[in-house]
Amino acid sequence: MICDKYIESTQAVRSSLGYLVLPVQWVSSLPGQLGVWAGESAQSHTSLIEENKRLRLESLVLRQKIQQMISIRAENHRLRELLNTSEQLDDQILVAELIGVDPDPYTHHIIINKGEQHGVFVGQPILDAQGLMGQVIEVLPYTSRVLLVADSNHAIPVQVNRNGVRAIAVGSGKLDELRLIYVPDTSDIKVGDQLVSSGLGGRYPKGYPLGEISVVEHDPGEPFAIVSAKPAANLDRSRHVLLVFSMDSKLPEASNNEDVSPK
Amino acid sequence: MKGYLIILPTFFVAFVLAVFPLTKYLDYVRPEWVAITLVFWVLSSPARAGILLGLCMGLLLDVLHGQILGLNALALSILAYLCMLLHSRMRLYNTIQQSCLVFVLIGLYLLVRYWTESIVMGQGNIALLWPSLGSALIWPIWYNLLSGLRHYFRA
Repeated sequence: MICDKYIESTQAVRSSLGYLVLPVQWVSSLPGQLGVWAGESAQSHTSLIEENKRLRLESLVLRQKIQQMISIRAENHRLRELLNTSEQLDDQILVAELIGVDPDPYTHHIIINKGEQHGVFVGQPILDAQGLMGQVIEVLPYTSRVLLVADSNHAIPVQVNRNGVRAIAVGSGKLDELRLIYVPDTSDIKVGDQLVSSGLGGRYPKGYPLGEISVVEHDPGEPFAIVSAKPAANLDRSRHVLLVFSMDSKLPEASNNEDVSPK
Repeated sequence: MKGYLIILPTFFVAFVLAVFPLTKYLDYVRPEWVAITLVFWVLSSPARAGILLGLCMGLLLDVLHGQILGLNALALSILAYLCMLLHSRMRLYNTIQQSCLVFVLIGLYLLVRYWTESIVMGQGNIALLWPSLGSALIWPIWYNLLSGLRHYFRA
């Protein structure tokens, strides 16, 4: 019975049982959604106007940034052509909503409302607006389970944005802390450095922000430096997450055109 | 057949309660809802609820929690078997004695789960005491609620 785990065909059983479990997940996420709905509909007129104004300003600033980005991207493309390196492709994304959090207090898993039917696959990276959140570890027909970067079973190869120093960021089990392991005492990492994914593991795409270095300690009694980072993504707050379809990883066959948009 | 029309909805409620988001500290004492529901049904109608029901509910719980398939199925089947051995004695107990026994039963269920998980996966969740305590505390309320339902529908 337990040995079934080592055989791939149990995935079929799992996904057909997933249909039965779906209403349970839906009902348990209902009060949260009701709260969001009530909060939205009970907001006052003035606060809505204020929010609208703020969002308009934000959109203006973002648009100006996009204008810059277009020319910078074209330039980057030309330079890459000069160097004869391969062209970087845009990643496609799919927006998903968080519908549940794993009740086990010793792990950090979340459940999102996109699954096999939307082309989600195991190992797919998940982002929020601020940075990397984690990866898909289990796919059911309409939902999937995501392992967050802060889980103590999770590790991700990273790079310091300032100088390209490579390291491995391992989850600490706390939602606001990641640990960088096997960092030599002599390596150039400072508090405040930005960490980005290095893409070396072949699972996460290159260049997405992961966090910021918060603690660097050199203990003479330890073989390596003690380095901690604070995740950039709001691991405990984000309601909407982005699923990334990298061009070199598997592409979805059944993706809806209105949901998938080039980033 | 009519009995299952009552049994399955109570399990549905138990599943929802098992994944319902709670605050951080309540999460540690979250009762094993599915397990105590199974204990109740094996006690009250051992002809209908038994090892097979435990197996099916365990498989669903595995999918719901994203654990290896068969983990809860094995543990709940063993729990159902233990309850079937004990049910004639357990019916005579008063509520507090039943709660104590539920504490032990849920503890055993979690222990079996921990053992299998650590044998197969190499690591397991060793939180045995607090969930069993939570289950034992919630048992009197859950027992009265379910037996009220059972008498109301005459299942």
